[in-house]
Amino acid sequence: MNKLLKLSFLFFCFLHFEGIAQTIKGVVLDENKETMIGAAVRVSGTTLGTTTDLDGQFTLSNLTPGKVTLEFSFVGYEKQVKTVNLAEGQTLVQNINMAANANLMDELVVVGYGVQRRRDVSGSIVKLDGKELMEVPTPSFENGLQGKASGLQVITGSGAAGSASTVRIRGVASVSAGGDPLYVIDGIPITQDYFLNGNSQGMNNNPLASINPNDIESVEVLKDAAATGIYGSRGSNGVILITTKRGKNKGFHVDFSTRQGISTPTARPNMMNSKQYLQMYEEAWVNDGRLGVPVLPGNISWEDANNTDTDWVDEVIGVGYQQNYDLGVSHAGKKHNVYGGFSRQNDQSYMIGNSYERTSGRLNGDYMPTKWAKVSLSSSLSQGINNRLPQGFAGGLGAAMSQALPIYPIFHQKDVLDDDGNVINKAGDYFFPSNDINRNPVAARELRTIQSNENRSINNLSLEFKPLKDLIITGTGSIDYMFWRNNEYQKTGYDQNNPNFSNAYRQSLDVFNYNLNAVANYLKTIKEKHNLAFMAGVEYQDSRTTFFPNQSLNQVATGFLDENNAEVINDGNQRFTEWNFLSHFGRVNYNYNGKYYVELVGRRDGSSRFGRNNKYGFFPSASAAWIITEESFLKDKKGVSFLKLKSSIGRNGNSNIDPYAQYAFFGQVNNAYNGETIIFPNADRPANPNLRWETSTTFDLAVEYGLFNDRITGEMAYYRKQTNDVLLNVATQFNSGFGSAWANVGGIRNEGFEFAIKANIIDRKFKWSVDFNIARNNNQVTSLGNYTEEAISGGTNDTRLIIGQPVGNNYLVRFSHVEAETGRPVYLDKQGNETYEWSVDNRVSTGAILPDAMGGIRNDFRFGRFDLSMFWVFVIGGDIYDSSSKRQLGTFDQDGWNHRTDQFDRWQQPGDDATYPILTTTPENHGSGTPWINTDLWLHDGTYARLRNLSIGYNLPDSFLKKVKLGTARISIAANNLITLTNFIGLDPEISRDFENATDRNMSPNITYLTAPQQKSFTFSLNVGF
Amino acid sequence: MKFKIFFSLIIASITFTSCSEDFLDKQPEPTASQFLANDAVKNKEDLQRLLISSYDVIANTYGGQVQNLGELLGDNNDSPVSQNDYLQVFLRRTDVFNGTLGSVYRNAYITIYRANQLIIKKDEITDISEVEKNQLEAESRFLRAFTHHGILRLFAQPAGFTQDNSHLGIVMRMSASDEVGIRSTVAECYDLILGDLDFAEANLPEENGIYATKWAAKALKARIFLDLNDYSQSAQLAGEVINSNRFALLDSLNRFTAGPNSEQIFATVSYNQGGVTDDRGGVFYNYRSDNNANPTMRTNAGFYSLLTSDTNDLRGKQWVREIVVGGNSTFGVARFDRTFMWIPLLHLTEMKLTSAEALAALGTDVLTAQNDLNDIRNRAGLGSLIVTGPDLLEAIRIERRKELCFEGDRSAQIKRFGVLGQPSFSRGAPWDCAGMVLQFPGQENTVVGFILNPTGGCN
Repeated sequence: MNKLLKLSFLFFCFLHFEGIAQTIKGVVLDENKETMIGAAVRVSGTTLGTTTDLDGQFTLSNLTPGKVTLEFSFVGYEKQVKTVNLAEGQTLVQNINMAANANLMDELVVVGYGVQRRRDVSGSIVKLDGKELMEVPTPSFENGLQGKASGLQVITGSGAAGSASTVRIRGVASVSAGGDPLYVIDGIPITQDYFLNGNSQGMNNNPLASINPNDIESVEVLKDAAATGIYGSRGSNGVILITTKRGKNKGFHVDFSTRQGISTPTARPNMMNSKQYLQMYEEAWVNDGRLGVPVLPGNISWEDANNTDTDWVDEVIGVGYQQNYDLGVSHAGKKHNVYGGFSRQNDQSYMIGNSYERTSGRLNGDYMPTKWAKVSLSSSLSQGINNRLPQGFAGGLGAAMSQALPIYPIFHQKDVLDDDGNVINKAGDYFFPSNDINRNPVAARELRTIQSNENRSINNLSLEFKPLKDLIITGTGSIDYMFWRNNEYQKTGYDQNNPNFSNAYRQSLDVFNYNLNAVANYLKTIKEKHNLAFMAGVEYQDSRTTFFPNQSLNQVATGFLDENNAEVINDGNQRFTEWNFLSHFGRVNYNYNGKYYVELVGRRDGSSRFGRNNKYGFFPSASAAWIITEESFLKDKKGVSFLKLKSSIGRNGNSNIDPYAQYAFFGQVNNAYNGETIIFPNADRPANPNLRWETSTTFDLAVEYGLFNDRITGEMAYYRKQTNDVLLNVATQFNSGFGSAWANVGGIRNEGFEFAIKANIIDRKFKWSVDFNIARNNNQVTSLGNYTEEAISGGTNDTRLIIGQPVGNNYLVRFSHVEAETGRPVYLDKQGNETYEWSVDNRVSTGAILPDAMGGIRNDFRFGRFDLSMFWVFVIGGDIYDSSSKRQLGTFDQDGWNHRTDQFDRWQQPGDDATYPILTTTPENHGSGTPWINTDLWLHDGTYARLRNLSIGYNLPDSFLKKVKLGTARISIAANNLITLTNFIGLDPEISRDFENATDRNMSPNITYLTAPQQKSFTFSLNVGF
Repeated sequence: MKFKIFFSLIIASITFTSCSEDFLDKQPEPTASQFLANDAVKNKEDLQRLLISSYDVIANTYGGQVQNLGELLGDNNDSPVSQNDYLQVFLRRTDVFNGTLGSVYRNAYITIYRANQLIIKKDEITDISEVEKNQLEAESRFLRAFTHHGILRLFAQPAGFTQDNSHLGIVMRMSASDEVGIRSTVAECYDLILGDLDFAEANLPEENGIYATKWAAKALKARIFLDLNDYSQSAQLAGEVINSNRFALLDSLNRFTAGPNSEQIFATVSYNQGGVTDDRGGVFYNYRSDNNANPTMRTNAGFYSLLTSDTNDLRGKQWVREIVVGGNSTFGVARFDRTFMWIPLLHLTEMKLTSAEALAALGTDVLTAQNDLNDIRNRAGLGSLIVTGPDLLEAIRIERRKELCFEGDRSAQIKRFGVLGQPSFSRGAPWDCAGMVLQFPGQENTVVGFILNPTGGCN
């Protein structure tokens, strides 16, 4: 019908030519019938050509009569070719409809400070649609990247709401400097410091959690030096570019979506009940030859213990509830486009009392007052409220898995009297074993509220001018402001030292991060075939963090701290830190006839973080690509539709360290000793004015392919990255007077392969497509200078750097077996001989944090209005160190941890072939002076596959939509983390516990220590648009 | 036109941003509690403040932290409860991960680093006399010697373990430098420590408020010469301190008083004035059994009965108590059942016992030895003992064990007796088994070349 109309219209035009000169004019429209500005129209075989104006119109005059072939092109759209017969004197109207390019090779990819067509990119970049991030309800947007891009490792922190993920691109190349990629939103490197508030309550604050995933249009993952080179000293761990949504389509559009879901943990801790615990405890007591009634932890009598059975896990977990509402409104016209978004999310995790609520708004717009100028604004405002619960070692579910024993009641069962007969505790009061509230996680939760509140606004304003035809100059100013505040309220009864006190505490900080840049782009085509693009820019970034004085209100608090209360104490300790970067950069692209590509990139960075001698660094990269299918011998060959060979080499750096790492400090304390003031050199580190950049040199070789008319596409890559001058916060000899020192020591090599394939296997009425990626990374410490393996440790986690081994090696005593006759544990010494003695001298490298391979596979099925999607992620190899099992499966000490039922498989009598040794209350019987010993008995294979997402969707029929006046409508149900296949005996094989610092985060993501398992959720979603 | 404007703007911005080096100098702003190290010490007052910072660390590490380790290796104590680092020490199986040891060790070298900094910085200050400089240096070197010796006692086999003391001692930090720390031999360690103390003795004043004096230097030397079994020097120095008549035995058994007392030769201060309360009793309170049915630190049945066997012995009544829980007896310590105390680190009682033992062993002045012994006995409610020869020596040593119990002295004496060739054991372990020496913290071993202690051998 449509076609017929168009034809008749054309015919009509034919009849009504005006016959002055041979002219063709018309309008270029996109698939939504919107006019397209700047589309190129060319007469094939000539130099004649033009572009469409603001109304999408073009006019080509003085054409030769006869057959004329017109080529219409626009980046991101399929090229259209139209041949017309032009009579002498004819003015022909030729409108054209462009179709967005289904060909992946022509889609636009955001690169640093610009965009390129995918086919023209010579670096390694993975583009992800924002929608993909929204498929799975995640605690924070970066978590949605998991399994989507080869070489991108994402480990979800825990099941806590708002939890951070550990994100690594192509392995780990840094140790003490942050190993996370650089996150850039709409051009501004954003604040992403996980340690702004340290590791508080076993939980690091995640500054990315306040970013609304629904605002994201696309994410580009920049992997190799060619792609990241333009970010110079900050690109060596990869870059994640985030582009937010803008108004695209003419007219007024509204999209609304909501998601509702419930969640439970992926696994439930198997802690012993009271009877089991007492039985095992008694067995240990008897084994040790001890007599009488066993003395129980917390001064609990055997009788009381027998009459109590608290299931603490049940008490702290429930069913989580997630809800999400997103509203997007956009409008685009001839000279403007606007997008406005509003979003609310409340993720109550399965841990009772834990939730993350995000409210955010966005306004993005572009305005083109003239042909040569454009103003763009991107602005967002968000608030994240995190109702925090202590994690891991600090309490909550962690306590239920450790120090909260089943023999402890939640409440006193009867009145407790002192010697004089006075009531100390009434029946029904909370019971505090050993006067320690953390052993009663219910009381800890009910008597204390911790809430952190993050307000954040990320804004860019850019002005773009086109003073010459091929020259574009853009100036951008960006501000990323974050205000973070943590409130704690302790009700009466919480503070064990002062049971009548109710207290409130507050910490606050803000980060003001701004960025100014000016970039000039110049395009030049010489003799049609030589295409050149030049880019040059200058950028300044400055980030200021103010740590406001801590405030407290003791004794009389009635809720979160009220600043107006006269009794609020301010510790007067305000701190301010600042760092900045000044950079100059440039890029030259050349291609010959769309066949041979060369790109050169250079960036010179200066940073306040380094000593005067080493303030500046220069980071060059070069890359080349060859589109083989453009060669005559492969052109139009069936089978191979696209083949590109590309390679790059370049150097970039990492500077993500403490802004003042180069300095040493003196401290002063008043009334310090004998009432006197003292000053002293701070013992944490000496000064290092020679501190310099960590640099990586990366080589990359890759093939991009498209087969059978691009029904199968993909990429294969090999890379090798050598990092030198690695920034290490080394542990120094204590006898130096210092605890640690910053130094550029050592080297790390990452080498790997990546493979990705996407295939439309069935493409008829029933559609089936598969998207698969896998990556293997080999990581090795190549040098450590004069330091030993004790110099760098991953926090409390017994991971080390050892030459020839991967970063973050589990350095442990080897456990051999349980001796059948005696039940004693037998270890191996360094030489591999059996020994009863557990000694730290016998530690060897036993396991590695990094998996052998990892990836994702996705199957999409579509039939009519139904679609089904199944997304698995997998990790092959790599180890998990189940650190808390040294206590949960170890000795029964008076300190009192509950044990896991796995320990039933222990030695009981001679001849037993048991996994775990004889039960004991003293470490001596396990050959050790300390009860909690690290051995490879707690080290497990980390292989797993997880059904990350299973969803079924239905698009409502047009007939119905018309009735209710909707443009689109879709409902879907999904299950997330539904199935996990693994041999890991702990809770969740996907772990990354709380971290003390960046070193810990780089070296110990494979350690679990009472870490809350991920959420398993079931969700219902509704999306409508009109 | 517009083209020109924008090009000029770009060029201007590049030029502007290129030429400003200071742009990238972001120094931390000084606050009341923290400032850059470069210009931290400007005058005499700063030097004095830096000096007191060393005393401050000593007060933090000698509030039982060091003393408890000396006791846990010995035979006065029972297994500590719910303190696994202490348990390792008690079991004589310490390793590089023992955080409690690490902290004691680290603090010692922080004290030493500060003292060394002071020795350098004093020469950079102009408003100060040579005499003042010498006193600052003398105090610094006293603190350095005191600290080195405390660590040497715990982390190395005693003097006499090898004939020429060529066995490994500790790292002697005699200046603030960034050189790799390598362990000196025990002979070198004692030479350096005594060198510091000679300087201190010569340049410290006789009176110095609560801070180190000439008498403190002499008392420490007396202690060290006893460690070396050098009785004549030990007797000489202890005698000088006793005969100075600046110090007097207390009538009470309690020398852990809430303020200064006449026995203290060198003590750390708990401060309570003008609304500032700063109690440096530290981990001595881990012994408290008056408010805790399950104290971390406790004594054992053997030592309990030694103190209580003579019912007249006031120490048996005042310093220990039996705790019965669920029919099981354990033995608590009552000596530190208080909340605020000064810690005597060198005191007259020790000097008397040191002098007595040295004189008894030398046989030169048995009467003074008897008198000193009986001064201590009488105060504890026991009658005078008139014995001579080996009996006197034995009586003095038993008295020393009782009187200095929980003050950190015991394991050093067990080792010394072993060096003297006597059968000497601590809870069944020979005095010289490897585990009787504490392991260094792992951080010492972060550079190639440091040698850790051997482990094990005590079980």
